[in-house]
Amino acid sequence: MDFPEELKYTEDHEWVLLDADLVTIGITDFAQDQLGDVVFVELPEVGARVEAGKAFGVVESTKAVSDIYAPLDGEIVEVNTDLPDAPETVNTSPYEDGWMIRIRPDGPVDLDKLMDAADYQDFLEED
Amino acid sequence: MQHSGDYQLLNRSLEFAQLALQGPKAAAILAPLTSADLASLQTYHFCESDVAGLSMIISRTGYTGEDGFELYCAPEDAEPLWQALMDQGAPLGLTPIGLGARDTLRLEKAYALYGHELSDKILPLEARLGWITKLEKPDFCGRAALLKAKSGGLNRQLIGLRLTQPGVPRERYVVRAEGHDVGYVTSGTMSPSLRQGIALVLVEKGLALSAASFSIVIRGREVAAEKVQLPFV
Repeated sequence: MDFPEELKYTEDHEWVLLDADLVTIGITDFAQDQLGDVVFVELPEVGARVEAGKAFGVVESTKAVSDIYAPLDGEIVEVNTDLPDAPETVNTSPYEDGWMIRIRPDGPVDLDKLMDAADYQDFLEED
Repeated sequence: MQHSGDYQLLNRSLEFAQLALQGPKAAAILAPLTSADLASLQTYHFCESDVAGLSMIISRTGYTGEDGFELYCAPEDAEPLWQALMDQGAPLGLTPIGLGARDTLRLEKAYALYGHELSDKILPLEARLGWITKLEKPDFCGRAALLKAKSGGLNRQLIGLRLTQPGVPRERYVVRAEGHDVGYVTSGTMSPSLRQGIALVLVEKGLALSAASFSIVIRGREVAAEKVQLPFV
């Protein structure tokens, strides 16, 4: 399983990438592996607000329905519109083509409370 | 244990393990491993024979909608049986599957599963199982209740819906016909063969039989569906 060093990770198995002043969010390789074949992805519209700790979307496999949580407050500036028609992309490319939303955070971003790749792998082993 | 006349009823469940070998190549994989004549073993029939040198019951049954066999062996023989099947079948693409995958197969074929389409709250006559409900038999547990329900007219019916919009219907989701709640999903999934959401739904008769439009409520949103002939595939 792959956990890129440049990403931060949440306990809900999302990954977060800070790039300039925008934050991109998706689900981790572990999450897609646990779900199995992803068959449906539901994402909000551009302009919608997300709130830290609140679900902003849903990803479904044959076996399970899973909420996707926002790690911080902000406004959605871009949505991966390819996903609803090709949900399997979440399995094949969770960190690149399978990204979900891009948000403009409300204030200065402090990603230190999130896990880095090594911490996340430790977290998975503890679980 | 119950005694009745010359008969004795024993629960021997713990003496058996079962593996199901299912799919169009099941016979081709099993034939080299057994002395049984599989060509003469018809669907829903079984024989006592051997597989990989282990004695067992070979039953031409399963719940996938495909040809296949259910193999009943001693619990301690299950692992060597598994290994023999995997070794023999690997070149033909044999792969292990779990109950999640099995559930998509039986649902595409609209096979009822206990706890879903069947329960102590659902009559077999409502669940499209009239063909195996032999009311002409002298007596059996539930016969009186079934006769009474039948004479009074059944209120509910199990039908098939296919989503015409993206989404995955799941058990207990509400079904609407022309905007009115008419029932619920007993089993639902994303059909791997159709790549569409499919659901067996138990609905009140009346509107649900004449309605032109259906929907399934998924997370508070109505997702359009159409009534289809069963099986789905």
